[in-house]
Amino acid sequence: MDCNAVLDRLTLVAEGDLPAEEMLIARAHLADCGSCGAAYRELLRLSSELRELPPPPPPPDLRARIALALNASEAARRRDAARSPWEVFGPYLAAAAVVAIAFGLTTLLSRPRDGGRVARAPATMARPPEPVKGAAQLPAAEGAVPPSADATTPPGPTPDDRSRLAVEAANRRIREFQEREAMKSRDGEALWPSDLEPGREGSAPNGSGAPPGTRPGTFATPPLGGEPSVQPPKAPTQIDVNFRPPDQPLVGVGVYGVVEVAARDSLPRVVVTAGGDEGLAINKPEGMLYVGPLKAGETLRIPVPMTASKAGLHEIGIRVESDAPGGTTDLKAFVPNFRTSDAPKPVAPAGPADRPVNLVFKNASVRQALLDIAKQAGLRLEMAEGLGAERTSQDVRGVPARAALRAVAETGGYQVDEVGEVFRVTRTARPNP
Amino acid sequence: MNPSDHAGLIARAQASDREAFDRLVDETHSMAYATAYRLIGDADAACDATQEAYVRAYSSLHTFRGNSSFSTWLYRIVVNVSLDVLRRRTRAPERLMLVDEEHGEHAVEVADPSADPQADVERRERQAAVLRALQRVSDDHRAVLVLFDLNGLAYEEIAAILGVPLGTVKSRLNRARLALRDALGVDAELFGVP
Repeated sequence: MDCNAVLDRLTLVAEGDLPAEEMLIARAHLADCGSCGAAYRELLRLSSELRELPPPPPPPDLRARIALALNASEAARRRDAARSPWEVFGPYLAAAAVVAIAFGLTTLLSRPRDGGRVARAPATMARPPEPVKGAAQLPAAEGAVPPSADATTPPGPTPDDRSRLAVEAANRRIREFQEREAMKSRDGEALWPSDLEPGREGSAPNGSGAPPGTRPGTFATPPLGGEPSVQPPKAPTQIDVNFRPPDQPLVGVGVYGVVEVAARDSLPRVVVTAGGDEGLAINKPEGMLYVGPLKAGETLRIPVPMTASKAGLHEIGIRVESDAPGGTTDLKAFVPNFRTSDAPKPVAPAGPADRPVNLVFKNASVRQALLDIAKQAGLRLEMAEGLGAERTSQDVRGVPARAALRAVAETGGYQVDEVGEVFRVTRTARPNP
Repeated sequence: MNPSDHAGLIARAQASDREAFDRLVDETHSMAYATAYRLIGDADAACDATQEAYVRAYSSLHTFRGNSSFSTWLYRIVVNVSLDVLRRRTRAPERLMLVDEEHGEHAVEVADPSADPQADVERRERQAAVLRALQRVSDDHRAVLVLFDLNGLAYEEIAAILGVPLGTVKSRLNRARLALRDALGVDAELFGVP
């Protein structure tokens, strides 16, 4: 076995995947040949290095992005299903008719005067007509994946315009949200576009406006997917949104309000986001508070972590989106009485948990961050093995240890309960789907 | 979650139960993103690719017949979408990606007090070098390295995901590792190689 043959088999040697005799020969060569031996050792080290690479943590908003893209894709499918056959196929039939007429004309003109022979049909007739520009798209045959997308005949890499459009629609909504946030922080103006101000009629692109009986703060906006619906919405889904401000809000301290969401009908997926005014930060990436199901009659209670940078009254906007017709609700609420910590404080017995910590975490594991806070404040922390692998970035300098623990735990989907002197960290209970 | 749980969820999702599909997403999206990210080498594009993969998976779920595991089927879609992204993109001559810049803030992770800081620095340098080299090899080579070495999949699964024979996976993996070694360039010194 020469050097080339051995180099071709390095992985098989490393994985023990050679017949015994070949393995012996290859190993003997690796022991004798300096360059092949070095290549083999290098390969082993590289392979081991690759295996030890930590997986890149998914962006915090990835889950919500996937949900929005799926919503957009479902909305597009429903729109297609709601179209009349003429709307969907009309442009194609029209194009086919044009081709047919052109073909008839061609045939007529090319027919010999004696009528003895018929001109051969143009080869193009075998192909379906190209879609008319700007016309409705034919429903894709279930995405880009071929019909038998399985292990034997798996989905191919064919570009899927529909899925890409869904992703674009979802990302557009996220961008819009970010732009609103940026605009708000730039000029401190309204949180939502003026046409969505409470008390005004909604601005659904289908022109239906706010449906009758809609209470202030409820708007008929287009379903997720962002495009105007072809069909007018059916009875709009009533989503009730309430906001309970934090009890004793202090400036510069992470505090929690609670948003309560309930609906008349079960919704497979709602997305709850929040944004504050220029002096009120919502301590969640993109303001995303919740993505998940909402059962009829059930009330979701979602904590809203926030920090105010100045005292007084603050404004908060809550948006609840679902892909049901008219299923988006905006609520504007107030968070009163933020006080600076110098102001007379509400009664709170001073203890180690009230002492401020001085820590900054950047992409640290939630577990390590919680341990550090507890250690610095001298608190006893209880957290089950295996919890807290999520990553967090938090600046909790000057934040009382209790609030710091809660703020960090929240970013990983945990809650902190005080049991005697112990701070117990558990997963935040999710509504039972 | 065991495969039988997946089977129940898949059956429900195939009957247009979005909630069941969402649970499958919950279970798998970290893996899907990690795969897309390692293949594409760009966080935003990997995010888009992951979204697109799930939209494709949801719309074609009715075609999944359970001949392979759900995760193998999903891997295949993620890999295909990621390779699509790479093909569509006007590729920069080199997609450099440092570990410390990978997600912006890896470098400032709270240090483990028990760890040896020098060893930690060296480990990070080696990881950065490997990631740089990984982005220099061809897409086909990177795909097999990501699936085998990073995701720890078996040859058979990779063959199903990439749609190539088993023997091709083995030979391609060997060539990919040699290509990775060549792509290390001067960084090879970090691995004790002259």
